[in-house]
Amino acid sequence: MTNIIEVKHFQKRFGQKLVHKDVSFAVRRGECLGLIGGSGAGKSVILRSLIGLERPDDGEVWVDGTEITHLRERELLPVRKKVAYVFQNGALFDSMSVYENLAYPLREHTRLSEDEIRKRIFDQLEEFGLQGNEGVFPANLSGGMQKRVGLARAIIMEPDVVLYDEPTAGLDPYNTKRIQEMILALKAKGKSAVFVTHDMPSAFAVCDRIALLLEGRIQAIGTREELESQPGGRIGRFINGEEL
Amino acid sequence: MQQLAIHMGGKVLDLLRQLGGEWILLQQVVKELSRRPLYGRLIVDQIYQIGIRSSSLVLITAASTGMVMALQFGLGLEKFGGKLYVPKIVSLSIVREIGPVFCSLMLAARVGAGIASEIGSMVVTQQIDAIRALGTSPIKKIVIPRIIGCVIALPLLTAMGDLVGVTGGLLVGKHELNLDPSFYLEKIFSTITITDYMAGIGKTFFFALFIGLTSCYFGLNVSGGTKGVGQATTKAVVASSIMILVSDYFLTKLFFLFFEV
Repeated sequence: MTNIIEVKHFQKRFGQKLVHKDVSFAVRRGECLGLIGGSGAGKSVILRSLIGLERPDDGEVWVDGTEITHLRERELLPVRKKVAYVFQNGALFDSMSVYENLAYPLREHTRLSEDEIRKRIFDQLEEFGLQGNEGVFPANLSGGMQKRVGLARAIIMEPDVVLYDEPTAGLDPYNTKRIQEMILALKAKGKSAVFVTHDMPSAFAVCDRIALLLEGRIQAIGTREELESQPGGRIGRFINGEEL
Repeated sequence: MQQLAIHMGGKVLDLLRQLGGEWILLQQVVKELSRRPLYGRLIVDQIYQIGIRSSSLVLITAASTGMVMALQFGLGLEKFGGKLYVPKIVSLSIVREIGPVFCSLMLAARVGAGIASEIGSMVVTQQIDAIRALGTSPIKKIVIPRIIGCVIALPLLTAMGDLVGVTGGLLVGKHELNLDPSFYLEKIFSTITITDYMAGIGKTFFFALFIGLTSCYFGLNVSGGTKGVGQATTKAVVASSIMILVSDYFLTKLFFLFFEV
């Protein structure tokens, strides 16, 4: 199985503090890799670096065979068409309706007619259980719905990879389950993913492998069974709240 | 003393950082301007937001300024028998200096604050990141329409403001100073040349650039959540107002050199 994402010797400093000392991991094509770690461990920074929203101070980030850390904003466009980012709170454009939010990437990057865009948006809204909300503005949506719209917008261009930044944080069990189902449905379509979370049940539900980021390094990586079978494993202590 | 030196040094560094940042932003704007698409609808929307929606504030300021100037000069010069110079002094001051500068300051206060807080909020709620993540440029989608909106709207507002200000002076001249309106108009037309008018309006293109660029810069560099948005808004208004006032002197000199006003 080939790797679609590779992070090699990633280092990032914030002020005087070296947050990422040497982070290396790979995401295989078609797999969902969970990235867990304590608050402030720098999980989201790594996730943002996978799409060029942040740059490491040192190290390499390879996305589908392209090293992206030195690319300029304009050169990142092909990468950003392949890799979608689902923001923690949706990051919906608040001056636009749900429909306009979903139409945004299609109008920017495709030559689809308005009728085709309309059809695609309505199909997407139905798939995500959002039908009837196309005219609603983000401020009038619940948190769970905002996250679903954010997810729908991110994948409307049918990317190869989806990066999830705590997609289930702050959601009730019903909405958490809906998000999990959507992620699993995307996985079934062969999409690769990186899933940053603190929500261990969700990580176990959707991820093929899980990486534990602690003290600026990946301390453990493997399937749930592999990690839990490690004697005195750090992931077990992390999950049980015995170690940050 | 040492504390004062450290404080002043910090302020100078902040200023240099701001000027450097704005210069880089200007370079990005120029680079992106040469690339398609240009988002004409967004630009038209910004001209409406900046121009039409600021017109009442700008025109009231212009009318008030013209009227007060005519009254003050009229009452002051009357003692020396110089009341007849009021049309010349008021119209020339408004067209060359007061109109462009006051309109720009009003726009900096209203629009500069609006731009900085809007973009700052978009930064805080990750909407700017979303624009980038969706493969589009915040410079093209957000910054360029606002700068072009300012550059088109401000000269037009100033032209209208000049007209309203001079008319305000004329009304005060007629009703308070008992000056004949036809005499007042004749003096205006014999005094103001097209060069005076263009020198005043010409400066507003630069002022508009300062307002748009400074406000976008502070908005894009917001940090620290909603508190940061408030601080950026204040800084944007203060910085663009200072840039207008400082550059006014140099631009006036420049126009004197080029047009021999």
